[in-house]
Amino acid sequence: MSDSINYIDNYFTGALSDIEKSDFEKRCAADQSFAKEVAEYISMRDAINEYLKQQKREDLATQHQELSTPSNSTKIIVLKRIAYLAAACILLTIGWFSFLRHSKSQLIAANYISENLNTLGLNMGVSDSLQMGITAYNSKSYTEAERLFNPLTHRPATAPEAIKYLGLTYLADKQYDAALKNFDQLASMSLHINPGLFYKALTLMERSEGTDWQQAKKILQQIIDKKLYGYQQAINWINQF
Amino acid sequence: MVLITEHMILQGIKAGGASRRNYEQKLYDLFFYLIREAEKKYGIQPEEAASVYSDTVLAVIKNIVAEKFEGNSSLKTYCYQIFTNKCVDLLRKRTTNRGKMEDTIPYDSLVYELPDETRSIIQKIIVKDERQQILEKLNEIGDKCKELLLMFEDGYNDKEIAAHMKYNTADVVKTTRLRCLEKLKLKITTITSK
Repeated sequence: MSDSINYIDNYFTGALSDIEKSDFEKRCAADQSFAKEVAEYISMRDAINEYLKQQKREDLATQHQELSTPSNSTKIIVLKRIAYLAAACILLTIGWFSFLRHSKSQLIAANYISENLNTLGLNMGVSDSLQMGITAYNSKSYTEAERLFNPLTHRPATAPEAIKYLGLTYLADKQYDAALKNFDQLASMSLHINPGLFYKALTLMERSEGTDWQQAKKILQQIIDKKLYGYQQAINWINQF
Repeated sequence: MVLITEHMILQGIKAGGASRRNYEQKLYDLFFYLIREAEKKYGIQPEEAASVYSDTVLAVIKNIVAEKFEGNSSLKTYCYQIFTNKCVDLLRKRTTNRGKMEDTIPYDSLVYELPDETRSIIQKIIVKDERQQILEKLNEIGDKCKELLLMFEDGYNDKEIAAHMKYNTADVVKTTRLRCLEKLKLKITTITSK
């Protein structure tokens, strides 16, 4: 190995001191043959660098290709994402309409309760205990009303009315499960006019949880089909849904 | 999924070793969107934009390895600046008809490391059309020699090359590397003297 190439390499790899570098540069000017060797060294290093860059460009071009053209797995992922997005949109739309329907049925029920069930009529002919319970209900003393209606539900003479009023008390007090139990019990009774199913539908509409709205709709349709108590109201409500 | 930060890429490239290539690819991925931007902003063809972007990434890698990137700006700004300059250069070359790079000394030539006076002396001697012959002869010096020279040109120092290519010491690498250069020189001289 020649000393020249070692010397030249040392210059370009920064292995020379400032004085040595200066000597190197002076020699380039003074020694034509040495300058030629430096030129050859630079040409070789430049060419190797060019080769390396070309090699790297090719690698990057492959990478570019991969990034520009989505692979099958990428396509599948994209398609999956689109499918998930579409499903989410559908669910959101269903959810939104369901929410609107629920809030609408709640509004209908709340309006009906406020217009018709805030104050119950003090009917003549009902027992004193029932009258006291109704008074308590009208003054929104629901615990008192419950206490008064409860024993009357066990007496055959007062049971249907007491069960109805007790159910309405629970409904007004937002004790929906207890209200539904009473209206179910009322609906199972053999009465000439039975508001049990109508109040059950009303309670489900007011509660509007889970499948309440679907159940209420089914009951309202049943009331319409059989022309039961409240069927005109049921037609009106069904049409609003 | 691990988020790759600019810092991780910088450290990965600087650290060298086998994982450097991996971080170079990540750098390429990171600002890949610049290609699309150049197409829109400068009306450059996609292939040209991709080529300019490749050259940008290669220049950035070289500067990181040579520690010329001092981290005064973010890597994003640095890449963007180089990429923009290269795009403008491309447009300028188009309009001024100066597209023939083959006739000029490469912008990153070693000759630019010489002071002005010495550079002009050496530039006059450099045989410009010799480059193609050297590139061809590079394939004739043996795979190991070629790999060693390419690794050195890629910014790996003799110590790193020794570790990678299983040489005993950095000094052995240096001696081997210079012998490989002489071998290449000999091949070229044989051609030119014919």
